[in-house]
Amino acid sequence: MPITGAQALVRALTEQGVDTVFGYPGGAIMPIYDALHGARRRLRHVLVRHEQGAAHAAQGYARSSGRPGVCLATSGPGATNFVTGLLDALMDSTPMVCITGQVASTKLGSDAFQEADVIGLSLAATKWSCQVTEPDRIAPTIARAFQIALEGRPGPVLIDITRDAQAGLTGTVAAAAEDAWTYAARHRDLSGLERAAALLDTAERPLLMLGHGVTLAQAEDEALALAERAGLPTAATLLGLSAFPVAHPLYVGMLGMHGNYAPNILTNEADVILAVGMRFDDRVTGRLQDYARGARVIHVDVDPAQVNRHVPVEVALIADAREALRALSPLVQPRRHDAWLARFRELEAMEHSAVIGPELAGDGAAMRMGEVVDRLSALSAGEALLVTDVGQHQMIAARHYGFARRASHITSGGLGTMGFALPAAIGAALGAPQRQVIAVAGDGGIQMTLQELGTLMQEQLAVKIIVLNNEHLGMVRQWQELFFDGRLSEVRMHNPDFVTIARGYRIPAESVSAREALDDALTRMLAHAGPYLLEVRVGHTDNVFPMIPAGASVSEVRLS
Amino acid sequence: MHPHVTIHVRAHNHHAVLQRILLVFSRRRLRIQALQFFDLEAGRPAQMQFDLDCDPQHARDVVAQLGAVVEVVQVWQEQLPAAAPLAADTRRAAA
Repeated sequence: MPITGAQALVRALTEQGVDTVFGYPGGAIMPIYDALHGARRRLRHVLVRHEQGAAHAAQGYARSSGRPGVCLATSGPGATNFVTGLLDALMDSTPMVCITGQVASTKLGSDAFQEADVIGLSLAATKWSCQVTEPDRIAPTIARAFQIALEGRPGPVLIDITRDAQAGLTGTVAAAAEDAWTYAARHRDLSGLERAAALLDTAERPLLMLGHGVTLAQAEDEALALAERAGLPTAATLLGLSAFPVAHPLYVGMLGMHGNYAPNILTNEADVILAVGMRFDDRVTGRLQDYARGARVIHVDVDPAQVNRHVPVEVALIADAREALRALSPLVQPRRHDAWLARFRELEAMEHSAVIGPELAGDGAAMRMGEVVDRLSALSAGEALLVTDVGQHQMIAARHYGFARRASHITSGGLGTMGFALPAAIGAALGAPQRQVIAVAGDGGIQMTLQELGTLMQEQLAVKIIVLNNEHLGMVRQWQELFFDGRLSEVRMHNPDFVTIARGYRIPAESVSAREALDDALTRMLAHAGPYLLEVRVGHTDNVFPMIPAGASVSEVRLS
Repeated sequence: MHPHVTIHVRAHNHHAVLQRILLVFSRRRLRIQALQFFDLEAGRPAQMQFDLDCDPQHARDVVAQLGAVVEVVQVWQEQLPAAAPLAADTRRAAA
């Protein structure tokens, strides 16, 4: 019996295993919302307060569950509000299927009410996008969309469905993907395995770098096994955090602009670098001309377009990180690099005495962000899934949270989208309901998507929100102070009362500014069964160090 | 002067594919000097040829990124040395 295109869509989604969608209804997507009404038992719809929130929530869901996040919006402004989330997902390799309603196919190009060229808008922000104008094409297009979103380097896809395709009848409900896309399979190349093993066997100063690809491929065990076998000091990128246990003796810290001192300095002294699932982003490499000049680089990545893009590579292994590391490990000789590892520990001690120690000493008048994250880490035993926004607090959280579990860090890395944390945390809580999810945001970023407190209230998810309030756009202030002769231009924030706002949404909240009250406040927050907002008022003038100034080499990292 | 590069692309001619391919060039501010597009046989990939003068590393990056476009079946490049001035240009310069 024929069903509507909208019903075919809902059926195709459930056949893909989708249990949750994030969205906001509107005129051009009403047939789909009508079909959702009939599928409420199978498909949970989370009503966000802004479509950007839906996109970020879908990202959070995808990154906490490993399954594509799905979001829905109407045509025109609904679709344009998706664009930031799409590009964020593209930069951070997040599988996502976004569905937008569109005006009827007969009205395309006529400047009809709420018409936008969504395909045109999405081209630079998606891995793939497709407009569907016939109901028969909906089910196969959805199947293909999921395949493309997950295959190779994951990413967002957008399906724009005209209103007549949603409302028309179809007998095509089979969801087999046509025209299977096999980009990763076509480019898979592990022919360099033995050369890679030989390089690692002869290395005197090797360094293993882990990126987001390790988490995406669930290759944490393989990375750990290889590091232990070959005695490799191991560092992580911002998105690679939690792929390797922070307390492990081979872990040497975070790479990049605000990463740890030792791995940044010693990148330029390494003789072999094994980079896994990372793309040598400019925040990691600093000045490229000087980056890792003494190192022979082995690059493991599922996307051949990333190889030799920024850093010349001696051996490329084009495959999923888990597959490549599983194949590489047995070929490598057991080694130890104690003297080399000791170099990391020496520099780590310098960072501790110059930065970390003073940051955590708790002897200043105002609390520092590092103290807050350090106490949060201790009180949650490093077990929480941390979702951070963008700015100083993001770097502080990355530096001070002691990630004890894998897949425990979600942030906007590539695009650096302020406003990401709250909606992404909502999605993360639905994607991983067994995890304690904590959003950490600054007073600037939280206000960019603050309306999603409404979503949290409605869904009653146990997301905890910590607002580190320094009454400034702190990272911009830091740069103005360090690189623009202290001229602070438009960085002072006159903030609302966050506690009153949260309570307005019937979310319990409190504010703390005294160091002595912090532990109790954090404990109350962690113990609360539902959503909770904790504002922590911190000093206004903290800077994040170490820091590699823009355009400097990684070995020019500053401690002050 | 950058060498002359010809980039060949075979791709399924679906909706907006040409725009998606062109974005790979425009994002790097590459100026396409000639473009040929053939979609002559139903069901077969269309053939495109882009001619431009560009830095060889940029050309390699573009080829790699074009390879990741879902509809692209095959992509390759040919590179010629930097072109000598045409005879007419030489005469004009002498005058």
